This record gives sequence, C-alpha cells and structure tokens, in this order.
Amino acid sequence: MINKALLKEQLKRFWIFSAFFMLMYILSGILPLHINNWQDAQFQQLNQLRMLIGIFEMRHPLLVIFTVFTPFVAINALYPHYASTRAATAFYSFPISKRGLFCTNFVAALILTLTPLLAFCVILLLPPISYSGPIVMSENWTETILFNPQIFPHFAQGNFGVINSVSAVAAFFARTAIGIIFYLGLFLMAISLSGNGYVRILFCGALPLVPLGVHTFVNLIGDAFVFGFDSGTAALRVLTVGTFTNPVLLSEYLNPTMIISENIQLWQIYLVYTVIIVITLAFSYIFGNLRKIENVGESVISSKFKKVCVFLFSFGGAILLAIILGESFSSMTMLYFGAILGFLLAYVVAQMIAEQQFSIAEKLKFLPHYAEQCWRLRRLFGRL
Amino acid sequence: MIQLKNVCKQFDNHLALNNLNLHVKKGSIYGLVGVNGSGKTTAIKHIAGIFRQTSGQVEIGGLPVYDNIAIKAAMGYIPDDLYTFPNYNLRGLRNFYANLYANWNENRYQKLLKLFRLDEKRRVQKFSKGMKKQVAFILTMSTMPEVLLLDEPIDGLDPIVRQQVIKEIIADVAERQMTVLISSHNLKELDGICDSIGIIKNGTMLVESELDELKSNLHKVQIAFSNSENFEDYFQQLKKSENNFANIQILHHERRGQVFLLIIRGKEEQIDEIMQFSPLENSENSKTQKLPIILYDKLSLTLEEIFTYEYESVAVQLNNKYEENEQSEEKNDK
Repeated sequence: MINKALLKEQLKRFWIFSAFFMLMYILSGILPLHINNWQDAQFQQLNQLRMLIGIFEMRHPLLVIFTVFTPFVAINALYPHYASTRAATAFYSFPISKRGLFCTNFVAALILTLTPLLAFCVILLLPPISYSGPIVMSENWTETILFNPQIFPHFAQGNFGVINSVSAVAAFFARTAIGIIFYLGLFLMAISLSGNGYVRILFCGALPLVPLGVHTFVNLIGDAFVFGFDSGTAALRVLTVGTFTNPVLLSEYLNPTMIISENIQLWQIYLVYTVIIVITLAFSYIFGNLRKIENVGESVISSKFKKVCVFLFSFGGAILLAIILGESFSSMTMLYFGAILGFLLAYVVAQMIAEQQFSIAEKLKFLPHYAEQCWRLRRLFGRL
Repeated sequence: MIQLKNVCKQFDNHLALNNLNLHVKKGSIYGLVGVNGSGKTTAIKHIAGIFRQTSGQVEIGGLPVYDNIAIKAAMGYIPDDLYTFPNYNLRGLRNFYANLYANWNENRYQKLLKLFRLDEKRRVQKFSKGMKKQVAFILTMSTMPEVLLLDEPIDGLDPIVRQQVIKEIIADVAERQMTVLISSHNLKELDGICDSIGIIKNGTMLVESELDELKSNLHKVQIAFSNSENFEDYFQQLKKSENNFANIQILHHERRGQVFLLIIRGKEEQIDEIMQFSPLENSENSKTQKLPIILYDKLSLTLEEIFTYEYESVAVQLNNKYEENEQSEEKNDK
C-alpha cells in the first residue's frame, strides 16, 4: 500500500517545507521566550512562564494558524495529480496503484507536518532553551490547565515543578497533532472533490466552514420561517459539532481551559475529532478512487457533482439575500425580491466558477430548472 | 501482446473511442496514425493504464491493464506533454526511477546519457522541448520496458537525435523482443521503422495491417491515352466493371494533364486484369472511338499516400451515403 520509492522521493522533495515550518515554530514559540529584557530574574521567569502557558493552552495565535496552514500546504504539494493533467498522466503511468498513491502521499503529509511539531516539542523539553524553574502561584492562575488534575493528574494544587514536563509537552503535542491530522483529512477531501488549482483552494477554504454554515443556516431558517423553532433545543445542539470544524473555534475546543469550564472530558474531544478524521479520510479515499482522470482540470470531478454545487450555491445565495433584504426592510415583498435576485446572482457566479469562464450564455437555459428545484426546497421548509 | 477489444470511451457527451479494436504483436513496432482528434492519445492512455474504458477490454499479455502494477512496471510511456518534478535535475529523476523500477539498468542509463550528451546536473525545466524528450527517452529506456508506448515522441527532436532514438528502439526490439507502439504524424519516419500500421478515425480503427501487406494492397496506376477527351466515360465504365472484380475498389482518380492517376485497392494481378479490360469496346455509344492506352504504369505508395487515400475513401463513402440519404428524403417529400 505504501510505495517506499515514492515516499522517499516526496520527503526528499518537500523536506524544505518541514524545515520552514520548524523555523516558524522556533521563531514564534521559542524565540520570544528569549527576547526578554527584564532585568529582574523573577520577572523574566514570570514572562517565560506566561508564554509557555499560552503555548500549552493553545492560545498562541501563530501556532493555531500553523495547525491549519501546514496541512494546507502539504496536501496541495503532495497531490498535484488531482489538479494537473500532466501530473496525472505521469503519476498514473508509474507502477503505483491508485490506492498506493493516495496512502503514500498521505503518509508523507503526516511526516512532513508532524515532524516540525515533534521537533518543536523536543525543544520545549530542553531546559536551557525553554524554561526550567519554579512555578509561582498566583490567584489568576488557579484555573489554568497546568494545575488541573483532570488534565494533568500528577499536578495537585500547590505541587510545583517544572512547567514543561514531559506530560505537559506530550499533551500539547497530542492536541496539536490531532488538529493537524483533522485538517489534513478535511483538505484531502476538499481536493478529492475539486479538479483544478483554483477550485481546490476555494474548497479548502469553504469545507471547514460547511458544517458551521449548515448549523447557522438551519438556525436562521428555523428562527425566521418555522413556527415554534428554538435553536437552543437539545436536539439541535448535536449540530454544534460543526463548530469543531471551524478554524476560528479550533483553538477554543482544543483549549484545556475551555474543556474544564464546559465540563467536557478530554477523551470526548479526541473521540469527536477522531471520528471526523476517519470519516473525512474515508470519503477522500472513496472520491479519490471514483474520480476520473479525464476530469482533472475541470472545476469539480464529476458533472453531477458540479450540478449539485451550482444548485447549493444558488439556493444559498437566494436565502442569504432574502434574509438580508427581508430583515432590513421588514417586508415580505423585499424578502421575495431578495430571494430572486440572490438566486440569479449566485447562479451566474456559480456557473462561471463551474465552467471556468465568464461566458455562460449556454447555461442560462438551465436557470428555470434550477429555480424550480429551489422553489420545491423552499416548500419543504414551509411544511416543517 | 497488446489487445484492445471493442473498446469504447465516453467523455461526457463525446464518444472518443467507438468499438476500437487494436492488436499489436509481441516484438513488433506498431504505428498508430490518424488525424488530429481521431483518438490516438486516448487509445494510448488506455493502454498505459491511465484511462479506464467505458466498455471493452484493454489487455497486455492477456491481463487487464488498468491499475495493474505488474504490467506498469514493465511498461514505458512517453507522452506528448511531459511532466517532471519541478526543480529536479536529471540525476534526481534518475534516482527516483532507479528506486521505482525494479528493472532499472544503470549501464544503459550511462550509455544513453553519453549518447545524448545531456548535463545531468542541470535542471530539467531549463531544457528545451527536444531535450526534455531526450530526458524522457533516457529514463524510460533505462527501465528496460517490455512494452514501450510513444505518443509523438519524435516531434521536437533534431534529425541526428531522431536517428539515434530510432536506432535504440530497433535494437531493443531485435534483442529483447520489446513491443513498441508509436503514434506520430511523421509518416515518412514511421514508414521506415514500423512493421504494422493502424489508421484510426473518429475513435474507430479504419485499417489495421502489416505495412507490407497494406502497401501490396494499394496501388497507384498511371494511364495515358492517345485521345483523352472521353476519359470520364472510360472511368464510369471502369467503375461499373468493379462489380465483376471482387475486392477491387477505386479510391481516387484524377487527371494530371494527359495522364490519369488511379488509386486502386486490390490484388496486383487483379488490377492488371482490370486495366486490360477495354470497356469502351462494349459501350452503347458506338460512335465513340476506343481509347488506346499508350502508358500504363504501377507505382508504389508511401505511407503518407496510403493514409491520405484511405481517409479520403471513407470521407467519400460517408459523403455518398449523405447524398443518398438526402436524395431519398427528397423523393419521399415529393
């Protein structure tokens, strides 16, 4: 399943990415620990402590960005044959099966993205480089993860020790790694559905927001149109799983402080992420096998899926503009006007992206058909 | 060795291959020719295991090709539009191919490298189109393939390199019984190296034959008459006489001054017989004088001419069918 020659070659080609990520981790994580001009040694230690706690609590903004950025770069670099006809011809003529190509490149992505993180964590363990000293308790820090036995059982209240312990660093590695693998799966699914470079970037940006978008959309529609709808009901809380895929909230949900305050068990978080990872990888594998190589270069991998995307985009545009104009003018007339206008604009834009050209005169003849489907869907919501 | 049986390939609304049948014998060099858009590259990509057919079978050595690692390990494919890893030099590519292909032959690689005089350390992206093809050729031939697929490989190569490439291919065919399929528009060169030819049109095999047999079945006949005014009558009578001669088909006729050119498909002895036939002796127009043939010559055809006339004959047949259909519709309307 894993082709050693290809794996070796991919690592050789892209080791520079790993080196770059490593450099970024050092510059954003380690270097600030030493840019410390406090004359007073105690203040210097406090500052280092504060920075380290920020890293371990996933509140370091750059590290959160890297959790999304490194998988994005890795996946796009390692799967050129999903977007380039020439690359597809070359890769699929090699004596490597489709499954082998998929798995080998994914393993390469794992190695390239997790190695810099691992190296960063090893550096965090080294006292001369990071921190080694007593933990000074203060009232403000009583809720911090580092002193919570739920997360770090060996830390009891008032039991001070080295802050960058192996368990603390290991936990940080585990939480960051699961975030990276999560995004690897998501971006892989995004590029498995798309056929060229532009649309794959669009899908990579949009896919993490789809569950959140569905969640928000259902709430908006329900609150606006469905009598008795309550977005706070327990049944709909299951849709909050969508927030796990929101990159903005990623750090929150991996933030141990948030975990404690919401009374969520860490293993539950890991379970949800693991399930999502397995599902996205499974779908990526299936789409990867089903995709036809002759469709590489098109916007999406199949004409049927293209129609679905155009429909969803048009419907979403109609609803969005309907709500905006309807709410702004408090008028049903404006609401329907917004729906029609939104549908038209979204349909044109969607077809331009799907057909990869500005001239879509031929596609306008299908507009009534899409409008009819949107109308049917709207009636379905009315019955709810 | 290579077999395509009733292969169809549908790309959305376009039928690229339509019941294509192709057969390449082991140890032979097969030339696949056709006009632009006829389906040559599509057929080759099926054989290379890149495309999956909509229906039909694509086999090498009796085994299906698609996603078959064992067959791909023994196959070399040089496409028209090459892809190499960005920022790689020839040395880097060599290392990759040597690790990927079990049959990699380092001696062959070094020999070809000296022959083509390429700089191993220079980035492949900096090479010209012809040099990139040389790179592809060196790497592919060094994997010692049993089956070699070449999609317009000779285009872009200078004449000296072209000869070297052809020489290496022929040597491998002779020594190792390598099977080669070449697609090219350069029919003059294919004429000199191919054992068999397949002419493809609109995704269907028009003609597939050994090259010698193909040439022996198509003849260029030049005739000159002392009085050439009534050649058209003579030609019409000659056309009617086709029915009396099985497997004879006049693909093309034209007048070049006093000389008339006929392209006739059929056995040589039958053509000699038909040319001795003097239809005007039996003409209803008794006032027409016989046209004594003062020149009768048979010439050999080049592959380019065979290709052109075979294509034309199908176009004529299609046009005739179209005209017949139009005429029958007009009759029905009346």
